[in-house]
Amino acid sequence: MRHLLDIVSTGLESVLLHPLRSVVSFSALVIMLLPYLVGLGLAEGLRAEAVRSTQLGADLYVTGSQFGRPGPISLAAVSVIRQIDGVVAVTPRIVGEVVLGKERVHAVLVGLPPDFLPDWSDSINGELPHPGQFHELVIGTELARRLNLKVGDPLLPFYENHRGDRIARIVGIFKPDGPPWQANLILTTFDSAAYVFDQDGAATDLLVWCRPNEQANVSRAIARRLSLRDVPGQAIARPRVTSREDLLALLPQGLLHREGVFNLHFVVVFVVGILVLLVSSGLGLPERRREIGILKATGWQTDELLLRGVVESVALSLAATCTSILLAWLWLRVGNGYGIAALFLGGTGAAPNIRVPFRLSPVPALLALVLSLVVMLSGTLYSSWRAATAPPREAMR
Amino acid sequence: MLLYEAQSLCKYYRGGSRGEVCAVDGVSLGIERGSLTILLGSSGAGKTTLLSLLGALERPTRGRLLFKGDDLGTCSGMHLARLRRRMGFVFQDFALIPDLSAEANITYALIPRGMVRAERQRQARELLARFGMDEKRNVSARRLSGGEQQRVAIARALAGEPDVLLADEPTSNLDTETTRELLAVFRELHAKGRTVILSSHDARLTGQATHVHELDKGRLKEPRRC
Amino acid sequence: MESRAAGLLLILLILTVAAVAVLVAEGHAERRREARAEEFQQLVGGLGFGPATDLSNCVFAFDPRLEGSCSLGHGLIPGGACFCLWHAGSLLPYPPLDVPSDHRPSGEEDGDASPP
Repeated sequence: MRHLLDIVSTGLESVLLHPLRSVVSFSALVIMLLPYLVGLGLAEGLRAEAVRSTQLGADLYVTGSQFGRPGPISLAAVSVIRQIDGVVAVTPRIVGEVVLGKERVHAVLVGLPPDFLPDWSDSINGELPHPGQFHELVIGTELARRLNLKVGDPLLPFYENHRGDRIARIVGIFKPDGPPWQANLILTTFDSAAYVFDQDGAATDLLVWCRPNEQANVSRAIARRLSLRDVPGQAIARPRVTSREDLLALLPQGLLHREGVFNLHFVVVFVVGILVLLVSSGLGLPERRREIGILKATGWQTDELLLRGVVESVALSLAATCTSILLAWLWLRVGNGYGIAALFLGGTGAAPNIRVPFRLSPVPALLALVLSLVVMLSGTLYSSWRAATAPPREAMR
Repeated sequence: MLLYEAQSLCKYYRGGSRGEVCAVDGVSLGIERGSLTILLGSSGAGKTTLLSLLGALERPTRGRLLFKGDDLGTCSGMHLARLRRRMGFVFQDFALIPDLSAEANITYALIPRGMVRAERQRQARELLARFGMDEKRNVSARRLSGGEQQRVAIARALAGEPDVLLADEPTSNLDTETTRELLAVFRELHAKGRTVILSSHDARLTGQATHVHELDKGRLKEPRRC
Repeated sequence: MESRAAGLLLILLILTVAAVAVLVAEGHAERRREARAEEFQQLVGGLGFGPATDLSNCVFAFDPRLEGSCSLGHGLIPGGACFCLWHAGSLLPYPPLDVPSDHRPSGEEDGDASPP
């Protein structure tokens, strides 16, 4: 055991004995691992938010379609759906796009019935729209920043209505540490939203909650009952029903990414990895061969020399991986994904003004360690083995 | 009693366009335990190659070479490494690890012998003190003079109390004064019963030796006992 | 162990402990993010899924519940594919929810919601 520790010690010293090689290999590994960890952290963070959005929402979402395109759905469908066995609750919702201000800032206006909204929420600075009050708005952090709005500020009319425009009032602003979709959101009551879009008696989607294990039956029943003439006053519109399972099935599992900039990162990873391989196997090779030959000449065995090389590689890999994890955390937590978040989250600039979701978990960190070990050992072990198995005099030449 | 026994030893190297180069050709000799043997010859005579074979730094192409009864040509790599621990080799170019300190160059050689760290350090410091290198034990080998590197190389070769000390052209890079000091060291070691084998092109060293083997173009001339 | 090796080992230990601490701390932070997300999603009834933060470029990229496919996806071109930038740049490249009608198996009941 003591003998092994002595050899391990020389392996660690070897890192310091060859500073150029160590620094180059370490730097190349960090360059390789850092964007990988950051990108993966962003992917996992966004994925986690998407999963929460799905799991914490309704069981089914019913939208309308006309002429093969998404369209509104009549509020009369609410009572039709409520009668279906297995349905617990139905809530209409309006989700639409509005453009605000001279800067033409795009926002997502969401309207929900007042009885759906709680009295209070910890995710908001300020208050929620009050029941019976018109045009009280809770806005997202990005909207507040771009339009320079605070709680209590009025908002000039940003829409046209045949009944006239109304001045709205900001009653609350979402806290910045919420999901990214709050950034450009305007939350208000259903009636206020209907007024903004000048649409009465319709919603963009209906949120349906079902009894356990009844989603499939309810989904089929909704499609049957709403498809033809069950909704008075509604033009024939084929409903589209999306379930929670439909959404969850969209999310890729594991680390399979088929498209997008992340594929570029994989290419970069492997190109840099190959460079590290070449560097670690070639840089200082004559000196390293000679050193191995000298040690062999003084009585070192091949396996002891290889162990020394392995320890050196493991030390560099571990140092590079841990440093990459720390730098990735700094980049994501402190830097808020500066310069990289925009690649994966649309609408954010180089310096996002919303809190970019990320998730640094042990599995990608372990994968990063394995990857760096493979790269380093591939470069070191072969050349060390060649030198260690050669006669000492030959290795020393 | 013979420490080494060589029978028709041959060593060939691949010489590129020249085909094979014969560095040692049919050398047969015996080296007695406790002797001071000099391998004499001009440059290219095969001294360094023969010394390398004796030091188990290379395997013979043909022939037999026994060290304390073990055949250096056929034993396993692991066994060969263990046998090298019984030998101390001083290289012509000293072969120190440049970025290691003088002391570390010696302690690294003692690691395979399974010594504890304190013992390794003690031996290294004793040997360095013996050769007047005590104050420079933490200086990296790269920053030592030629003579200082030579002394560290000898100290390393003596670490672990080897059965034999082999030195390749030990005086070729040294001034007269240092050469005299070095030869005194070899004489002292020999006087204490250590087997010493030196290679040199300088015939003036033969006066120190108990046995002289002269090589010419890889072949041994008639052996001389002094 | 020699002092230099011990020093390097200490540095490695510190780095490893720091990295593990970061991962553990992020695990705790994840719980806070979960709580915040829960409040938000309960407020809006489940909204947001993809990489967009508004509806201006690709509604599908914002939330496929609102629009089941992307009208800007140009599909296959020789040698590759051309996708809408707003959802193809995402790390979550999810396929369209809406299955074209001519791809439905015969005999399937109209309006049945089926996973892609």
